[in-house]
Amino acid sequence: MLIAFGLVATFMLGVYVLSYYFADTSKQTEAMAASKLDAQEVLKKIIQSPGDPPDWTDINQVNSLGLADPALPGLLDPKKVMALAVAGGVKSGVSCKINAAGQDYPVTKVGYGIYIWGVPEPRSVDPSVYERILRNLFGDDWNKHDVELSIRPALNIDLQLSGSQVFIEVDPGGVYSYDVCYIYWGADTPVASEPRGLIIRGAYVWSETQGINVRFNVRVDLENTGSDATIQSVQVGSYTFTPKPNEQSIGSGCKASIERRNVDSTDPCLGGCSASVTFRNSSGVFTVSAPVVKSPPAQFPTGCSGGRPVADGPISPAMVCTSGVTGADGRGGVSVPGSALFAYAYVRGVMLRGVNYTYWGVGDVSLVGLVAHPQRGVYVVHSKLVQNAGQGASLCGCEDGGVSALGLRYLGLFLGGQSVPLLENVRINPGINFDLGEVCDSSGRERGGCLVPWGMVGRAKFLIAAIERNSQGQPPKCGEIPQRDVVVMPLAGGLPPLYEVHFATWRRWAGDRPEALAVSHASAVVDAGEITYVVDLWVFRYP
Amino acid sequence: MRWVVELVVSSFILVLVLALYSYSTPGSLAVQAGERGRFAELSLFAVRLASSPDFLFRLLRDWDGAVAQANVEARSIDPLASVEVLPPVGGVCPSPAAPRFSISLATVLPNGTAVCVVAWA
Repeated sequence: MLIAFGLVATFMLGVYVLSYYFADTSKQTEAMAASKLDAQEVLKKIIQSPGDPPDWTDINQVNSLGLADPALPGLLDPKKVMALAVAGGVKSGVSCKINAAGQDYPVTKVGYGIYIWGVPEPRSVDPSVYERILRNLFGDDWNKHDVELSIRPALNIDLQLSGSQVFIEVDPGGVYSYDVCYIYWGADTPVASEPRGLIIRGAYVWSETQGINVRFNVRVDLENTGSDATIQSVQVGSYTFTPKPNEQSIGSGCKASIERRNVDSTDPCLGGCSASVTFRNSSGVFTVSAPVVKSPPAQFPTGCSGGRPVADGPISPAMVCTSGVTGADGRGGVSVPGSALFAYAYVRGVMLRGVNYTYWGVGDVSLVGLVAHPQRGVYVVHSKLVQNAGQGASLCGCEDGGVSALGLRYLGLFLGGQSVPLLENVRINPGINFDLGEVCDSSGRERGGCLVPWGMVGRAKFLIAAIERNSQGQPPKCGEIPQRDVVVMPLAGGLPPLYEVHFATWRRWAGDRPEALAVSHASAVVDAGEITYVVDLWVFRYP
Repeated sequence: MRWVVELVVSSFILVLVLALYSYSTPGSLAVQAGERGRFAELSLFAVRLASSPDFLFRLLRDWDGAVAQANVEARSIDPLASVEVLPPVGGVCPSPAAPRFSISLATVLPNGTAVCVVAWA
């Protein structure tokens, strides 16, 4: 009897204690579940509302956090994403100065050849902003919550320039359409390093499925920059063939494509491989080769230009846009009729899209500086006039004093996305006084620097300066300053950030991600301009 | 001997109570809430897909390629997500049996054909 009583008492006591234990854990899991729903609701609110004020561009103005574009419902506002990126932190630059009309003005170097006017203070977020944002999301319980927001491009697009090729690689792999715009020095320009003759502008291997069979196709795009040529043989990976009689002759200044379909059921290009073409012209027999791109070919206009122009004096680089499709592995390539300087790619899947850009040659000191002034526009300044902030006349970012001024043979300005140059034959000379009010033009008049007003730039994504150094310029002391150069300035309002943006309200009181009673997560896919972002949100709930 | 039987019965009842508590505890609520969130994200994806001109035009040109690409992109939302495009059955979009959840949306291709975009995980 006593044993039974003892057992029952122990059992009841156990149930009593356990009920307390479970009540406690239940409370935690309930909080976790509620906070999971909070994350969904909060994320929905942030990406679907424009916030308050609806057109905010400075985080310190914000009463209610919302990233939607008030003019385009359902899309994020690129300016707000950029403002959030700025609040998340901007890397510090090098302090320099430019000299105009005998006076020094401070500028800050933020990238290769690009500067911003003045010395910006690090943008700090007013602590009251966090309170306003949290109060708007959680009401009176605002102090028991924090949110962390991460915004990253859904597609990771890698662009590489390799001589006369632009390579694209998209992650995650898949079949994507792409538009690529590139700036290049053509084969006819004095800076072209290629010898005259037949040049492989693109070599491709791609597969097609016919029923259950996979067949491989090959194509080689050619341009003849020399005298009339006769092709003797073509090799693409392990596949070699002799062109048909109507394919063998390529006249001077002509472009042609040689394609073979269903060449084999096995890949002629297992692993990396190259294509080579053997041809004969008035100078002898030559073999040229180029890497093979394993994707369907991009567009290549064929035909003859009626003879190439004589290379004499400065000839401008050209901007061309083309389209294509990547292979199933997300890789694609575009052949450039010359030496590629800059490429911009817009990539689309069935729902995700993204952009990226790259440019050739990055050193320490550029031939010119592009200085963004918030009110006026972008100054194009000879590098000799952009100097270290300290004593001495060294170039900005270079400690080697007494560098001679470099003569410039060509300076042209382009806007990203437009195939016509904005200005050509811009002449800048550091020996002439730099007047801050002088607007750039194509008149060829020399000056120390000039201004491209914001009105001239419009909503372009980039301002691109293509420069060729005068071969008579003295060799610089600051490492390798290129003979020809390209400086690319991404323009505010053109592109949203191409990198991951972080914003966290727990920064109001913690340096690192805090411990919380419950942390919940939600994510969504949203477009901002030409980029699809994955937006992740974490809600932290404290006791 | 009797106390042994009582001990075994009491222990059994205790284990039963523990099991019932574990089963009814809102731990599963957190999972359910999480699933609801994933479902909301995947639903949004399906809606975007069904209204994406890039997807609908690509379906006309290359059906298998478009579906394969949709699956690649769906997995950036949920690694276990799948997408299929099916014809309506008797005027109704089919809803496949899925271990977690599925959504089926009707849309119209540029050539006027009605199809169902089905996403599940």
